[in-house]
Amino acid sequence: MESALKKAWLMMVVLTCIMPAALKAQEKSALNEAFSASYTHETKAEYSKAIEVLKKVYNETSYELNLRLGWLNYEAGQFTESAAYYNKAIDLKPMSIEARLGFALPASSVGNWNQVITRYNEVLKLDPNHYTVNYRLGSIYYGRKDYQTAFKYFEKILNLYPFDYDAMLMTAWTYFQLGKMREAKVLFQKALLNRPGDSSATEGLGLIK
Amino acid sequence: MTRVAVLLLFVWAIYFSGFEAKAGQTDYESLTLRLYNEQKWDSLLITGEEAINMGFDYYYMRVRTGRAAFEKQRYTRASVHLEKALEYNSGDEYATYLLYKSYEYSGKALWARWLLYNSPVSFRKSLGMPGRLPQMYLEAGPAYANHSQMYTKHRRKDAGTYSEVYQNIHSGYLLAGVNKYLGTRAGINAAFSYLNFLKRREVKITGLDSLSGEYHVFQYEYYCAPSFAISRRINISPAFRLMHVSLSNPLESSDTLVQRLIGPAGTLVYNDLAAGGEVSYLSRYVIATAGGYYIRVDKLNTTQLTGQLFVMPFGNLNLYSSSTVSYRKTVLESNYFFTQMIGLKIAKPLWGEISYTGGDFSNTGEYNLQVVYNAFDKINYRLAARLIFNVSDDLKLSIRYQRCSRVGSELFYPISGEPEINTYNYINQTFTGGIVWNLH
Repeated sequence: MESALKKAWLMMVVLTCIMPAALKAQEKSALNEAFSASYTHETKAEYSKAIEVLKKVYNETSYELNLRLGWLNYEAGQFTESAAYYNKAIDLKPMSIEARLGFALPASSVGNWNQVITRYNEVLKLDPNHYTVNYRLGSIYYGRKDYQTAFKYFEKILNLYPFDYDAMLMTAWTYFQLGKMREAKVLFQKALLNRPGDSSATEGLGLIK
Repeated sequence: MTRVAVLLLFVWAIYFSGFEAKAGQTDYESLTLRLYNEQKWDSLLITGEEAINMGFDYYYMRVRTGRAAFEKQRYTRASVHLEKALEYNSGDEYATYLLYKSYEYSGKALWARWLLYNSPVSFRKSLGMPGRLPQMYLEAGPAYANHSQMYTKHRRKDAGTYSEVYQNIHSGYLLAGVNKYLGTRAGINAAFSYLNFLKRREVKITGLDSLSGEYHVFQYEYYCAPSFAISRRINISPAFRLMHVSLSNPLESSDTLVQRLIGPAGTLVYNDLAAGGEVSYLSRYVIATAGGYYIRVDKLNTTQLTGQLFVMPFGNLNLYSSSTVSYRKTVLESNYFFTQMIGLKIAKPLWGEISYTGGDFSNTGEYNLQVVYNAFDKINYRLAARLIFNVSDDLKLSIRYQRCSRVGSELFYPISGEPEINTYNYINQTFTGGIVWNLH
């Protein structure tokens, strides 16, 4: 009994010393394999398995792993975990816009719109003319019936992309809600030039007439 | 050695097994959504709070849990979750509506007002713009006293030279008032009341005359109490009350000596007044109030200090209590008096309240001077009961019964010696009906 324990003890010490070095050597290929497997599982909608393989090689300081786990957890419907991984990714790369856009997915899914707004405002500090973020902020405030604030964002993207369908349409509807019918009419008509017969623009024009 | 080896093996096993085992984790999102859709509020409240404690703390979870608490009439608990929901998604109309109603139903009018005026106009419109038009209240009813019977029973029957007594027979009371919010932080409560007391004065002058006559005392009272919210928790409300009193001497005599003794004929008019204010501190389960007042009744000045604790142990108005202790001081005397009230929900639209007041509270005010007891007679105790019928959020009806033991007094001059005050107790009973409604 005594000698068996001694052998186990010796084996454990040897393993403890050797394994970290061995793991480090294999780390790179293991990471590649894990990412590759996670994509395979994702395409089959096996999100739990995709998460599982990445968790086996999980390293808290890896931006890529946190970002990917944020996405996979979001796809798996695990929004709290997803937001936590995206937050870690943002901590690791404070200038990351993609992580902030990613964070908005689970946060909006659970209705935490104030957190989405905070992250989007951070993006606008990094990139004030970011199309998607300006459009989404405009949409959030439009949904909250805060049309003045919504207009601020839609106006910006309309100036940057004057013939963009979404920018024209949402600015038109915001003008409409603000009671500026003449401006709304012009933009609804322009939206119809971009997408002839568009139902939303046609509806807007119908309401003005 | 064996123990150390086993321990090290255990540590090693943990180290290489990772930290991620979370077997059997509940899918709180799906579960709470299902419970919400099925309106299983009991289960949802438990599961939702469990989920929040496990870290699944987000807007939808808070709103679902808040709604469950709201449906279970745990309004204070609901407001905790709904406040958090609005932190996650400010301006959300559904959560704001539930929170507004939670504040209203848990007696936190100030918080409801604060929330409302910080909400978009569109939301206020959807609620019918509460606060834009005032809340009206009306209360009226008669009071009867067995003063005459008790006087007849307890009057001084021994020989004397002079005796005089004022008896309460019955009275009528009408109160009409408005409560109006003035923006986010201010409001005003203004009221008018009319009181008509039927009284009897009896004077007996041995060897000269015996006179008796009924007369009316009319009181027109004007009340005004603005209120200012210093913060979401602290409210200050100064209060003023003017009581215009008029009465006439019912006794007349052709004998000039008797007329001098009973006083001149004609109408006597004077004003009583009261001024002061209260400071209230609101927390989720308790409203603490401190007030100080100066009251002048027929040239007698009274100073009153009052402290009140209004407690809602379950955070709603299903059960509540109010404990009030007051100190009253005049140039002649000083005393403490207290009131204990307990209220509870009897059935869905019906609430009941009972209260007891011990100690003399004549010439003092109640409810921040909404009532001032300016009758001359001292008070022993008061028992009161009230039923409130909540027809809707905007309409309340109430009936109140009040039984007050008061001290009648007879001025009596014996044949020899100093004049005496002969006292005896009598009962005054008041029946009141009231209506409170919010205009839209």
